[in-house]
Amino acid sequence: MTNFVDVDLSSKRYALRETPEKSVRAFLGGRGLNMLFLARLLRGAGGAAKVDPFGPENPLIFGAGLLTGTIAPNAARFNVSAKSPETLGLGDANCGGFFAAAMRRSGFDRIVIRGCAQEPTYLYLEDGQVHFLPANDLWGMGSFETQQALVKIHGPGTISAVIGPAGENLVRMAAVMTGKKNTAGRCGMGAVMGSKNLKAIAAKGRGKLQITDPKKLRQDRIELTEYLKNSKVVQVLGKLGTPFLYQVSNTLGTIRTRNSQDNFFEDTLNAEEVERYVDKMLACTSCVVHCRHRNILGGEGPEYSTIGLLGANLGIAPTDQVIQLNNLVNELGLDSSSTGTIIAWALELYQRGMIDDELSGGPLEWGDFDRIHQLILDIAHRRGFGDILAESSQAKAQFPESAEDYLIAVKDLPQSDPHDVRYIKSFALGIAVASRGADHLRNRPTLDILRLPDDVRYKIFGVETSSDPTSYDGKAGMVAWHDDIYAVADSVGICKFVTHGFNSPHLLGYDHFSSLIEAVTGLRFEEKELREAGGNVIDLERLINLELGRSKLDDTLPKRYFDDPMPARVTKGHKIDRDKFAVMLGEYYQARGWDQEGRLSPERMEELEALIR
Amino acid sequence: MKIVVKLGEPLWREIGEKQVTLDLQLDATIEDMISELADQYPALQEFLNQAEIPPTIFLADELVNWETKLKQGDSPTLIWAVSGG
Repeated sequence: MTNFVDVDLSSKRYALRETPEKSVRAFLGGRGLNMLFLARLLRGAGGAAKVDPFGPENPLIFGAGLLTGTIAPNAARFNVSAKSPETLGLGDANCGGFFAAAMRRSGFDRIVIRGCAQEPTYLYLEDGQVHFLPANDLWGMGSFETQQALVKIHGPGTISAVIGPAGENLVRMAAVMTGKKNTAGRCGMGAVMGSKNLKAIAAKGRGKLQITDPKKLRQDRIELTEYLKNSKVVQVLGKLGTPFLYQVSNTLGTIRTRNSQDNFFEDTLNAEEVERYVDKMLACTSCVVHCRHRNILGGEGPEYSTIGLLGANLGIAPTDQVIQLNNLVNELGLDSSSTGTIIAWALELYQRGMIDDELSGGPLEWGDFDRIHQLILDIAHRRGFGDILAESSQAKAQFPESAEDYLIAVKDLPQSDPHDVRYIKSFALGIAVASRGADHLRNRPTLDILRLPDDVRYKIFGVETSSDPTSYDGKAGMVAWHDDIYAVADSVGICKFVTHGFNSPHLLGYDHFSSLIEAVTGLRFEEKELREAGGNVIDLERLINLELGRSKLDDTLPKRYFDDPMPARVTKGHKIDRDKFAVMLGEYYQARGWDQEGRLSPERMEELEALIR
Repeated sequence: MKIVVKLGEPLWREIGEKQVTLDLQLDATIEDMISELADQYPALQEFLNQAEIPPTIFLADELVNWETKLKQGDSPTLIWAVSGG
């Protein structure tokens, strides 16, 4: 049904094994099964808290979703998981593109990598075989350059997941890249690859996936494609991509600007300006949305997050400059969210006189494109002040103690998206409790702003919720609901753009997932069972975080979100009330079945232990 | 009364203008305004009819309901709120 290959880079040995059905029923695949392997392997390496993220004992897991690579709609996703060098906590990044389908078609649903290669190495996957090949000639290459070189070596149809110079140099916010911009960006998984001397995993996917009921899968595909294509959300994302979201957030006054000192920015980053640089729209494996856009400056993107974080957040207004920075971070293999957040942090510290020219190597000014362009190169190559910023959040150890007050991060993960969450309280709770840190893709309840009728919200979320996005009432249950369904989407490998609740009260929900899983694997899940699988993933991530030493104290927000009111536009005056946030957090723990310290119950611990063993 | 309606992404594309002036009856509501917009701009009407999520509407920096009454000189903003990476 689903396999994994245990790869030891130190000994250059591997073994292919089957994943027990019990584990698949509990955690599905993708993010879920990755967490199961991560929990086991961190324990086996002496305990999660003791594992050095850059040590050979840190496992690095590439896991395709249960449906990934099939013709199920938008089933392109895979997760890369390890202990994070960026946060020293749970590390996990989700990615689209074509790699995961190629990995599965080469014979592997999941790759569990341990050890460390003695010299630069890449793995070549073909026909169920793993080849350990020298990567000396690839070392130093950019991310797309590496992928092109691998196509030259192994021929057309070779799809790779690689690191750029940032990963090689153990930059703590280094990403794993595939294609020109598909990025497993969060938590520094590229740096873990670099620490293992692993430049790339290349796959030649010539095999065919085992499908239990191909006829039913084809029928589901036809019906669901029709259903999705009738969605306006899908149509708009396919036509405009994510850049149109910038203007929406900017109108509200929720665009993180100059490290969240401001909350609105220039119109030069609106979609209509970005469109001048768009060549064509592209899609991932089996996608019906086609939201990716190739730009005429040699790359892909920028997506909304990058527009915000390498544009408004750094005070850079010219559209072409933001696109150049987007292409640069992708080629260097850097997470644009962390890079934009960390540089903005440094700019504010300089603005406040908390770091000086001696440390920074010269003036740091908002909007100084040339300086920031050079700084990004210096980060990737760990040169000068870039070497300090390459530490991401951990750079706080080299700054004055109060510097952390200006860092827009949770659990040491710089916030992923450019949306300032002080206005919509459910968004704030979401990034506070997200297992990997400040991230919108774990539980973002976008529907909260739509003021849907009470009965509609109740029907979706199953709990009473306030229709006011600035209210704290009922938002805990709403976030918990999103936790579960996004965990399931991540575990089956389906994109959130077609997932029920992310942008639409319709689209693919548990019933659709269940039908697709049955067609692909023969396993039948009731809706309740699938939601429980989502809950298993969330609880296991909580367990891993607790074992890593995380606690209730880490389920919080950047100081600025509590203390500084938003300065302008619709959101003017809004901030997070500490007391109301504390109540909302307690309600969230209750909704998840955790105690008021955010711990799992003894009974739940026993259930999880039985699944982990 | 004259009302200037500002249209955010992607709604303005259905009209080709980022703001339009409507002439509404005194005490008209947001719902009346939407109805008038839809009457004047069939492409926008088609978009809103087909969209599974409603527009979000702000007036004087407040999130408002469709029952909210308008007054001369008001300038509501319509956005279409979606998330993404």
